[in-house]
Amino acid sequence: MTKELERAGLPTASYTAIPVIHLALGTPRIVLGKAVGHVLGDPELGAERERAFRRALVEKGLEALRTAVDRPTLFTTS
Amino acid sequence: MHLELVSFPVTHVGAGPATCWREGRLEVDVDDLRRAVAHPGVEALEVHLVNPGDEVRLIHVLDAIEPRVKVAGGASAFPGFTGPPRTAGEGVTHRLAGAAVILCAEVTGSQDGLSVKEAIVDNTGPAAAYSPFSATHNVVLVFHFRPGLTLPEQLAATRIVGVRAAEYLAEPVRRLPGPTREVFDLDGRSADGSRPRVVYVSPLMHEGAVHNTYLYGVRVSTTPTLFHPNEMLDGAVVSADYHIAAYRSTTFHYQNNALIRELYRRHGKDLDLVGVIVCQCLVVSPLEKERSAFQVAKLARMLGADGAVLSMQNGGHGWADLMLLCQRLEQAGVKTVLVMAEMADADGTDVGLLLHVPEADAIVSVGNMDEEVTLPAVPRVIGGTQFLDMNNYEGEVGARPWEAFRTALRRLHCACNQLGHGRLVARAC
Amino acid sequence: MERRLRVVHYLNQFFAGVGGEARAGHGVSATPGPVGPGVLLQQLLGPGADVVLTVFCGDNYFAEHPEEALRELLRLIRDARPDVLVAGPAFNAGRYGLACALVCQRAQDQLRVPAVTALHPENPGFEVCRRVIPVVPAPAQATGLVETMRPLARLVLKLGRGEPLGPPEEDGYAPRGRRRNQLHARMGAERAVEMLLDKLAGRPVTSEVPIPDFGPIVPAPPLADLRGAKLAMVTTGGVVPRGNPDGIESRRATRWGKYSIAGLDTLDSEKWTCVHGGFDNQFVNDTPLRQLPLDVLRDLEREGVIGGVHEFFYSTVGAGAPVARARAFGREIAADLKKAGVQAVLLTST
Repeated sequence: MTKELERAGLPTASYTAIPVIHLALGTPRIVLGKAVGHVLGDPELGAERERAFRRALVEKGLEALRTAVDRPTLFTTS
Repeated sequence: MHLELVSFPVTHVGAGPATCWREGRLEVDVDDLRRAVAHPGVEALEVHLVNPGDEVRLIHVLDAIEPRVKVAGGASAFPGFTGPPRTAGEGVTHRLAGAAVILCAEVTGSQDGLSVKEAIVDNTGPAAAYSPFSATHNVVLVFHFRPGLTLPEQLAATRIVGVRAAEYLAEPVRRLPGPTREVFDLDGRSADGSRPRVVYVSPLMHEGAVHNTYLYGVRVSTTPTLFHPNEMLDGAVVSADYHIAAYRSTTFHYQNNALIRELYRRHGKDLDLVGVIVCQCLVVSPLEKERSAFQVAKLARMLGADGAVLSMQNGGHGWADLMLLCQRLEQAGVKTVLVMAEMADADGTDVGLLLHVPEADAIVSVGNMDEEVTLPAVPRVIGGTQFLDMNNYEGEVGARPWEAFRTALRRLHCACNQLGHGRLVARAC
Repeated sequence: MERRLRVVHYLNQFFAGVGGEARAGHGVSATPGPVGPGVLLQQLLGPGADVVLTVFCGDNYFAEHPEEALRELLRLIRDARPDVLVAGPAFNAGRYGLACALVCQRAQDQLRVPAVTALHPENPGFEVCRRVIPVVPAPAQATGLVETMRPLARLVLKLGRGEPLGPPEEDGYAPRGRRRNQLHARMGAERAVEMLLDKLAGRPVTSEVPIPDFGPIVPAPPLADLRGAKLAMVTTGGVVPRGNPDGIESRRATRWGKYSIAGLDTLDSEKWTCVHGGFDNQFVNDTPLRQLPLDVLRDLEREGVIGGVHEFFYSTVGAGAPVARARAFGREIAADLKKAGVQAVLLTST
């Protein structure tokens, strides 16, 4: 799906906990999420810290959106 | 480790005044069986004795188990369930060959989006060839649970009743001399290095309430573990896989693991089987997925493996685990072959794989599970009166179980078994 | 005694002997019996079949009036009551190849006459029809006529008799990009061990599942200005309003939904639910923000880091999605986003 969004000119940050799938499919901007069941969250943290964790992931996505890529690229927060 | 597996072939199963095996005929005292496996969570247990050729359709199939009894070298045939978790694979085990305990129950409801999927076995007709259980003599148990049991409690009840029933049925042959004896022993191969060293890698699943596998009574974890092949053949693995029927492997499949048997058949001649690595699939955290794959590759190297055969369980994002294992093994210098099912859409035009890595250049296909088949009307259905479909997962069948209907292979139990037990393959056309 | 099969053969003006490029504007014509390469075809078919009619058309005429040409050709073909239609070989001739592909497809669709052709894989006609019409791969040059005619003639006979086709490598046609289940002589486990031993010995291995080609990626240019940018959230993780009003299926979803988050700062577990059937939903059901980070996006919007958040998010279930459908959804959602002036997307999958 991402490829069609990108082809239409919409840079897309694809969040996933299984980057190998996206690297194989050719998704251009891949952001590593936490886990399959909570890609943009971490239930182990309390609500406050989880929001900060989520923010770091979203900011990494914004960074991916502002980066020119020519091949599948994985962006991680750590 | 030295295991003697003694087989008592079953040529007919029927009811009788006492449970016994006599020259191939398995007689079952149904009331005594019920007494032997009584469970507080099970209000009523239907027992049906089904032979190949009986015009029957089984629905709501959960698992199948081969009747076994541990005669020497262990306390029980299903360690961790019916006895202490002693390491299996040694001593003497007796089996009723050509027989199976089949567990059926209408388990509705879902937990966290995961639910038990419909599973059908046609004993006769055009769809019979898709299941090995149309060729076995079956003791079919249909469960009716006490009200108030949760979904996990219901499934746990079926498992413990199932393995108890399997031991109960094989008990009569404990002291009999068996007609067929197989020996499973890896020693006796020469260490001349003339044969390639092969490891079998078995991803087993653990996810939520309905996607699980038990090793000695405990669910598999993301830290890979080394198994002797005999352990798997001797009851160490109990399946709790209630996901898409077509690509399930039952407890029976693990007891008769086709890949292990084939590797043993060629051991000491064309290859040296050096061990089995058990790991988890359907890992939800990327850190653990990678950790598991690297650890499997390390274990393979420590065993000196030149090559690895990888089976699979389940699918979906689990296939990403398989591809990652393939990558890390190949990168560590271990050549791989994968066994997996395909989802190529009903007309076979979709890309069959969820994903693919360049290192996966040797794959055995066990069929496209999206292909559709038409099942005929049958005179008798065991297991329930309507099909399961939670959250419209599979799409409606629109027929009652005894009628004729069209379905994707997905609903047919073990049609695309990923241990390579069957002969189905998808081909380009 | 079996009836002799009736075969109709389609050619262009050149192979029909009318003339070269100068005669490419020639209209639709027919002549009884085999013509040009059809004579070789007739020899190879033997006594079991007759090329009863040769229909032909100029390449330019077809290219310029395809519908009329097809109408006239189909009429002639229908009147000849064939058991099978064969077109070409067109080798790498583009206009001719396209005409062959379209005539074959139309005859199969409208007249229910099985059809077969022979084209070079780079001929534009090849991709057009090869999924539905068997195509014998032909060399680029017409000097390969004899070697192409043999498999073509065999397929003509098979199709004419109504026999099912064997696998591509046996019957000599290009794989149609379809997979079909069959029973192998040996168990999967045996084949797997055999395949590994071949691979270890350095012997050639044919994978039963070939490496798929997902097509080239065309990344969009990066966002130049974040502060003015309108972003949208899309998910294949299946978060939908409680009650799933659009009935999005938990696997092989046939639709996607568009849901309003206007005025919302967060996603309440009371109002939203997850219907994806492929993973444990408990964490997302508890906190849907774990799939759709609305809280953070609102913070960023308030702080002026981003221009704004689109008032809708888009949701479907990615489990079991055929690639073609996922692409179609992507195109539809992209169109909707562009119409709304969205400039970038955060997409969450599993």
